[in-house]
Amino acid sequence: MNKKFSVFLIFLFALFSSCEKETENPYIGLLPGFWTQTSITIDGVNQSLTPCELSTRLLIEQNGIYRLYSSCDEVQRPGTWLISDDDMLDLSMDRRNGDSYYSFPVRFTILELSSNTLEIRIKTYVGERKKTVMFTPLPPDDTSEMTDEERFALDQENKTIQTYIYRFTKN
Amino acid sequence: MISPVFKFLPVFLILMAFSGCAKEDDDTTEIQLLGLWELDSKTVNGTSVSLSDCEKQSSINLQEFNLCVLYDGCTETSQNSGWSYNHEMLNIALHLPAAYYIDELTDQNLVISRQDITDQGQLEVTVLSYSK
Repeated sequence: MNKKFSVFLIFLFALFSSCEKETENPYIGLLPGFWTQTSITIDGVNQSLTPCELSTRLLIEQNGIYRLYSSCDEVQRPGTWLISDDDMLDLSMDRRNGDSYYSFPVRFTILELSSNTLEIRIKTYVGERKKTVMFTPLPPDDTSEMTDEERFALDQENKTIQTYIYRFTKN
Repeated sequence: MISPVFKFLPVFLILMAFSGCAKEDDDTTEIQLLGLWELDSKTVNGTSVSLSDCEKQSSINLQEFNLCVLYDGCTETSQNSGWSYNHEMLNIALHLPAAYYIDELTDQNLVISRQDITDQGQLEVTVLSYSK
């Protein structure tokens, strides 16, 4: 009886100690690549892309680092990426603070990810979108010549939630 | 009479042999990366780039404890940096956020490539070949 039990224990040990690679999320293998932004949808309305938005490029590499390029300011912005909860894409993105930027975590829902198409969605405040380079830098609101009423209206607009969908194709 | 321990030892050893982790492959690559690598050639987007004699004196010295020394043959200057190997990419701290794919690694040859975005928003692939 002891002999059989010992064999059983050894078998159990080997079974649980073998380092079989955990099943990897298939998105992880599809995400790396050189992506070109092709469309932006806000609350279901397809936006007409400016030349600067059309120039947006995402170079995503398998080591969890990406680089964002836009001709708007010709600045290359590095960040990190991570896929979590099966279909969530976490990116660290530049967020404006005065005249400088700091790294800020932003979470998108992956709507579609194939060998040549990436579509991601985020619901956020208009004001937050303006401060974050998502994926194009936007100028800060210029309230210097606004009336109080106009500033109030702008503040209300910035506190509105909108749904943004970004679509990219792989070169 | 043979002790039960010795009777089952071969089975145990065989089972342990098959329980090796993928991490061992990473360890092997890291060991093979160690050493002084001298630059031999360079291509950009598949086109060979002629290296000057001084450029061919450039090297990367990947050392233990994730330290490395980058030597520029033209300016004859060395820079200390760190390096690591993960997700099948070679990371050199001074060159981040760009990292290198290892296209070829033998005891004598190392070929690495990196991707960059040009000022015009185009993808540029640089391949560097080194030898020990």
